[in-house]
Amino acid sequence: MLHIATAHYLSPRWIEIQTRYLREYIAAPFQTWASLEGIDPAYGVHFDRTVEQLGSHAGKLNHLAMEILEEASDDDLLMFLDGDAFPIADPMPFIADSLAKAPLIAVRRAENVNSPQPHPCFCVTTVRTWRSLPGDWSGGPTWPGGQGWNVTDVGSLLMRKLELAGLPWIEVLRSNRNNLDPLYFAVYGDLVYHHGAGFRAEKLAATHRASAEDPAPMRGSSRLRRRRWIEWERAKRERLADQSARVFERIERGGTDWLAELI
Amino acid sequence: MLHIATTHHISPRWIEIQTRHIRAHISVPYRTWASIQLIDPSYGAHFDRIIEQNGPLAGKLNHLAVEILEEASDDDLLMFLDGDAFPIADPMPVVMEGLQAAPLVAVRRAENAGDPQPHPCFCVSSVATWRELAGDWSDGYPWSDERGRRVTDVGANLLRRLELSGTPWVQLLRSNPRRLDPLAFAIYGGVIYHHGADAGELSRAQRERAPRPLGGAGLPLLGAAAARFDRARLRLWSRRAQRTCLLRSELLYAKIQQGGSDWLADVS
Repeated sequence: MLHIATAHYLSPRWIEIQTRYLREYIAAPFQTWASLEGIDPAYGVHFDRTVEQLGSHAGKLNHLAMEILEEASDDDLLMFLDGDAFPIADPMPFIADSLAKAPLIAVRRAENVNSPQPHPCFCVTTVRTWRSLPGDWSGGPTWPGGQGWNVTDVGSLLMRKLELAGLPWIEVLRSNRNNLDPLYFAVYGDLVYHHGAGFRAEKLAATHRASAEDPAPMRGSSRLRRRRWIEWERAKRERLADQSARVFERIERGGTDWLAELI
Repeated sequence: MLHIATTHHISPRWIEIQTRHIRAHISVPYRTWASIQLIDPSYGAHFDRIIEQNGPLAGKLNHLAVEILEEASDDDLLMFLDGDAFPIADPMPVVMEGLQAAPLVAVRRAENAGDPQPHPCFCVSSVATWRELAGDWSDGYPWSDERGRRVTDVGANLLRRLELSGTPWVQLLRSNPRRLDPLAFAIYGGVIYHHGADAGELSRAQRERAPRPLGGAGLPLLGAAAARFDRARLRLWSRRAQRTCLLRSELLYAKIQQGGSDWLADVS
């Protein structure tokens, strides 16, 4: 049995899309476990199990896994899938092949200033591995970020646990042939789509800032430079929100035309 | 061996105080493991081990435990202690008595609108227990507070793990009066002090003391005016309550910093 853990937050807009793609592409028997904080409980009918949760994303994923582990057997598979992520092809052959080589498979967002850690937008392991690690999506351990200071993110403690246990993992990397954005609207391993701007379109990532043309040339006062930077961020967020809405509308309409723009 | 995991963030102001009280009151061999994010690394000299970390508190604590578990043996003890918490008496008799009754001893901040979960301001278990439980300080699992609101907080997933595994735990409750503040400046089990007032944010326990709305909702014109008045009154009350708490925090901190135990009379 494959247990799919997913968290939707405030908006139900990805639920129908995600579950439609799961039904279409997951070839193995599966059970969906969802967190629907801030969403009408009626949307629970789209999932096999809903687990009431509040708080941080990492904590929700840890809690979902905990509840799944209460019922699952060691040989079952555990898949973490972000609310705005879904398969665009059958991932099971790749999963079976990869788990024969390493106990965990996950997206690595190398395009986000070379983030080194497994990302929960798509991660698969056995229940046995998650139990024995034990898995934990929290941040904490750091690595050098793009701006020269150390950073952490969700998944960093999982990376540390894998390191300490000496366990390898299979990285699923971005495979877009066409990039509408350096981080968002991502296809990984030609198997999974992750919208990225799904629940917080206003959020810019390190890679956006790192790849920005300098909006604040070195002339002028620091206040002026700061204002220019704030204006650049606001404009970038607005462009990203517009782009996100356009891509979402095309996905919502159904079909695969929207994918052609990415791969 | 007792492994003490603690996190200090941005300000070093509790480091000397905390480590002084640990030296004065911990009667068994111990080792301190600390996170000192955004603090001058020279403060690392106060601790046995420094772990480079970033991010929210729960992740830092989980990470500290991971690093400790790499070196510790199953029979060792693992103590979590907030950066602004420290022993005011030898806690080991209370800890050992507690661990004979249950595998985990922790503060429960029942005074915070009935919080049911273990709190990391002070928590002790054996390394074996933490390993078996797959201890996790993150939030997620919710409960209803005293007013029926669904809430979660740090320690929620640990509570759930204890429930699911049928593991009992010994709760250390507040043992000093709430005269100065309903949540901050707390003593638990007569052995641990937790300042808990540096952030300047109002706790749920403090918000319980907020003025109740005047009512009038649903009445045309009068309802809208009453709601505006209630919001303004609540803003004013919140600002005043925050100022009062911060002022008391600073006064008490200055006394604690001076040394001795006279300050304890203020909170007892």
